[in-house]
This record gives sequence, C-alpha cells and structure tokens, in this order.
Amino acid sequence: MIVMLILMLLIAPAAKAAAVLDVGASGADVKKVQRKLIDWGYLDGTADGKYGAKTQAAVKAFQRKNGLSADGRVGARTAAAMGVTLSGGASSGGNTAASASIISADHRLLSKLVYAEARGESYKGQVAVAAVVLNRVASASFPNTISGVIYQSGAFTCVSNGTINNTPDATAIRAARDALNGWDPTGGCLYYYNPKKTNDKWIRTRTVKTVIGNHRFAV
Amino acid sequence: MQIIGDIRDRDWQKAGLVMLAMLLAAVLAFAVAQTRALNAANARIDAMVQKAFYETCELTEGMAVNFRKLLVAGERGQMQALLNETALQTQGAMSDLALLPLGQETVSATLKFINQAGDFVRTLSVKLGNGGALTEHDHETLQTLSETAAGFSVSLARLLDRYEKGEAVFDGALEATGQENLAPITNPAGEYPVLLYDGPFSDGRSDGDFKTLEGLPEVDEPTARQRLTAFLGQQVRDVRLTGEGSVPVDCYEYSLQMGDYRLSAGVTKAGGEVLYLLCDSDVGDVNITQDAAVDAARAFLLARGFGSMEMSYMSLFDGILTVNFAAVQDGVVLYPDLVKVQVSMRDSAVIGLEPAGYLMNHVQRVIEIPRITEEEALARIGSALTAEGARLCVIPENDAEYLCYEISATDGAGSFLVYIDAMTGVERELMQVVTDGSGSFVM
Repeated sequence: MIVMLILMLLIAPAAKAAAVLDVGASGADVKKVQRKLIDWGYLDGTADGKYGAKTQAAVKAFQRKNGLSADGRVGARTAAAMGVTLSGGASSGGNTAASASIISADHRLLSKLVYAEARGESYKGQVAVAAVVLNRVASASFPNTISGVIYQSGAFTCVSNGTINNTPDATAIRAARDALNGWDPTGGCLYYYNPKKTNDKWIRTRTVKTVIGNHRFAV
Repeated sequence: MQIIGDIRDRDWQKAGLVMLAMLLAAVLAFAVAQTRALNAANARIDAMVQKAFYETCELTEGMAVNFRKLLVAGERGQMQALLNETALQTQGAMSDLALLPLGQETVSATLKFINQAGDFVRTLSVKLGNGGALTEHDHETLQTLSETAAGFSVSLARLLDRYEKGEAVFDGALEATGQENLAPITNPAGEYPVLLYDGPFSDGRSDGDFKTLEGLPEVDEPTARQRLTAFLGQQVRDVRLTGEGSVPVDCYEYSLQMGDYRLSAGVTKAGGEVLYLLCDSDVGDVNITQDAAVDAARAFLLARGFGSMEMSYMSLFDGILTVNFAAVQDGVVLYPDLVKVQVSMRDSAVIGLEPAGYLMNHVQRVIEIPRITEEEALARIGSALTAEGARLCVIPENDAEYLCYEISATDGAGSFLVYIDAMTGVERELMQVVTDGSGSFVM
C-alpha cells in the first residue's frame, strides 16, 4: 500500500500524443469515451478500449443529440461535450493552464479538510495540515485511507461541527495537491493543535517538531 | 353602547384565547415532530455505532480463529483462502474501530495491532503465491497474533456485555469524567506483534534517515541563509527566519520574497541543504511551454549538483508544473532518490522543491549483476500483456531496495508498468499508467 503510494508519485512515462480518436484507435482515451457512452445509454456492453464500428455509431448518435457534426470521430469539441480530456495535449504544452482542479475524491475531501481546519493559515500551514492527514494514512496507528483518517471518530473538530462541508477555495485545493505530491513541511508529524484553543491535556504531551502560524505540529 | 362593548371585548378575549391555544398546539406539534426527528437521527447514529461495535467483536473473533487454523492448515489453497479472509477481516475491523466514539488515543494501539496483522497476512499471501513456504518464525508470529486477537476479542466482549446492561461505555462519559480509562480494555495486552513483525505500516514517512546528511558539519544560521539565497540563484529580499524545526531533521525555516513569489523554505542544520521550498503565491498565467518548464527544472538541478537525473512524472495545475526526477546510476533509474521540482509557467522560475527522497537515499549503490536476463524477465509478465520495452531500475519496498526490470507493456486497451525482480524473477509490482489532461500517473 505504502509502496504503491510512493511509486504512484514517482513513476510514469511522459504522455503519448493523440489528437483525434477514430475507428482503429485504442487505449485509455477510447475507454474513457466508451464509459461515458455506456453511462449515457449510447453504447451497450463493456468499455474494451477498442474504437470499432459500434463505438463509432454511438459517437455519431451522441454528436447528433448534442448538436455536433456527426462525423463519428472524437476530436476536441466532442471530447469537451463529453467532459472527457484526451491525453494528447499533455506532453505538447502550450497556453493551457488547468484551473484549480480537483483530481480525485480523496483530493476533494482533503481540500475540504484543509479549508475547514486551516483557512486563514499561511500556504505552508495549509500544506502542513494536509500532510498530517497523509502521515496518518501511512501510520499503523490510524486508518489506512484518507476518508478513514478524516472521519475517524473525534479526530477533527471540523467533522464534529460540520464545517468540513464548506466548499474549499483554490488555495486549499492547491495545498492538498502539493501534500499529495509529497510536500510535507511537518516532516512526518501526526498531530497538530492550536495551543490557544485546545484544553486537551493529552495532545500537549506530544513532542512538537515545528510551529506554523497558530498550529503546533507534533509526533 | 356599554353592553355591546362588553360583548365585543369578551368576543375578542375568546378569539384571543382560541388563537393562543391554536398557537400553543402548533408549537407543541412542531416540538413533538422535532423531537421525533431528532430521536430518529440519534437512533440512526446509535445503530451505526452499535453495528460497528458488534462487527468489531465478530471480526476479531474470526481473526483469532483464522490465525489458529493457519497454524494447522496443510494445503496451500486452504491457507490462501484463510489468508484472504483474514485480510478482509482486518480491513473491516479497522474501519469499524475508527467509527467507535472512543477517541483516537484510546484506539490507536488497537488499530496498529490490526493494521500490522493485516500487513502480515498479505505478506504471507504474496509469499505463498510466489511458491514460498511458511517458516518457523512465521508460525511463531501467527501463534502470537492468534493469542493477542483472542485476548482482545474477550475484552471487547466484556465491554459489549457492559454496554448491553445499559452502561454508557460509548458516550465518552467514562473518559471525560476520568472514571475509567478504556484504553487498557480496548487495546491488545502485553507483548503484541510489533516486536515480531515490522511491516510496511510500522513507520510513517518520518522515520527515514537522511543518508546524504550523515556526518556533515552543522552550519550556523547566517551560513544557512547564505546557502538558501545562493541556491535560489535569484534576487531575493525580505528573508526572515520564521523559526527552527525538526521536520524531521533539524533545520532553519525561512520566509522570503523572490520576484512576485512569496516562498517558504527549510535549510538543514547538517550540511546546510535546502530541505523544502513552497510557494505561497498563486501563478495562474501560462507564458511558456511544458517542455521549456521541464528544461528549466532540469537545468536548475544540474547547476546545483544533483547530477544525472531522469524525469519520471509531471503534472500541470494552476500554472505550476510539478516535475519528478529520479537519480540515475550506471543507466539504472534509482526511484527512491527522488526530487520534485515546481516551475512557474509564468516565467520559468523554480518555486517549489521537495528533495526528501534524494536527501534520504542518494548514496552510491552497489548494483549487482542481474541473475535474470531481460528476455527471462519479459517472459514472466502476464500473458494478456505485450511488452513494449524494458530497463533496469531500483524500487523501494518496505524499507528495502530491489533491482528490477521495469517493463512497459500494454493489453491493447491500457498501459502498464511491470516490475520483475532482477535477482529472483518475482513480479514485485504492477501498475496501470493513467493519462489525463494534466499529466500521467500510475495506480
């Protein structure tokens, strides 16, 4: 599990170029398109990642329904209409900055926690709070998933008082992503607390490793 | 007039009383409905907690039994089935325990026990799957795990009994009033297997040694500050020492302004190496290409003596390109020796750095001659996969390193990376490469 996490962050070849999907194409992009088509009832069966006549017919039907020219090929416009990102643009670059996007459900939840717990702290302070969650996931003494750690009974005040349900801002989203990418300004801490706000005696017995803004970070 | 007035007043009074009664009835009805809704909600929460508690008891009893069975199981298939079932039991118990309102201090040792038990059974499962057999030591560990799980399920059952008799063991009252500390009851007693088995979850990321910093002389604060500004290689101002930390090595921590960017940085006391760089400011604008940004990152590392490195990952968000580089020795990619660099796509400035992997691991390796040839490794990948290329690399696993062939392969629909141990031929890792608009990553 931990190995997978580490490797996930460090291995991966650069993306291959793929501009337009058409009959004969295959791969992850085709699969993505097929999954959408299946979800919306344009296509039967399973997403096999092979662009054949059936997929082509389904794409045409989708295009007709959505006011696109029905050429049966998935280019930029059709992909956008489907909400699919084709991998082609990934390695070529250009003036396309992705916005403060959320990568996954884990990332979304972590962003919400950061926003609820550390809004108003410096950027580093926000990355640090996200890193504590990830350090707990890696620790044997805590649950093994991000949601398990965040919703552990009594672990975070924002879960008890409901502020975790607020919508995170771009800074919290970026901070969560940097923590997922391995930045950890706490160097492996498992706890943090605001000395002005807590009267928990136990947590004050933990060894403080660094102080960032209002939070003390401890192991 | 007077009489009529009296009648009117009385009518008004009557009407007022009726309205008051109606209002009172409405408020009462509302209160009753609210209370009912609240009770229903509380009952739902209680039911969740109770389910978690009963299930924890059930699962730990099952674990204890399965560990005992594993000690006597004769057949490999039977052992695999038991191991799989136990792995599921540990997972279930983990999530149930986290739901119990006992407080994280109370359950942390229990979680650790179950976590490590789960790691151990998974390790055994892989071992059996690779044709291995259980050793004497494995049997001893199973014995201890079985006893600990049994003891633990007995104390849980006692707690369950108290709970069923109406004692408020879960509402935090016992803990809060200091009447009783539940930790000894819910935690596995005595010599529990942490001493026997040191699995992948036994340490967080904090426990790694920084091999490259060992034996380096300590630098004072002015020197550290100087190192940092020289490292950044750009005009900086307003450099402030924000404190000293141990994250996890002792360091000086700074905040500074570099052009439009507000940066935070840590510099190690040993050797004065930059431990991290984080950018507080947003970027947004994109004026350069990703290729140019990667080149800028590569040039930055080269100029600072990081040596031969290979890009292994990149992703672009919010105008910041994050690029991972792994060190290379004699053509072998060293995945543990990782540096992550963030480049601003506005002006190609390096604004983020995460070199912990590199600082911890980057020492000269003794790279052995593979006992398995590349052809043999290629023949070992799954039959559904077609290989597209292979190269040697070192991957980290459970605090150890393994020389592997990294084989890129496809099943026609997706791309995969297969890691075949170059010494034993065992498949160590299998990953799917997922590509999206922001970069590519593996799962």
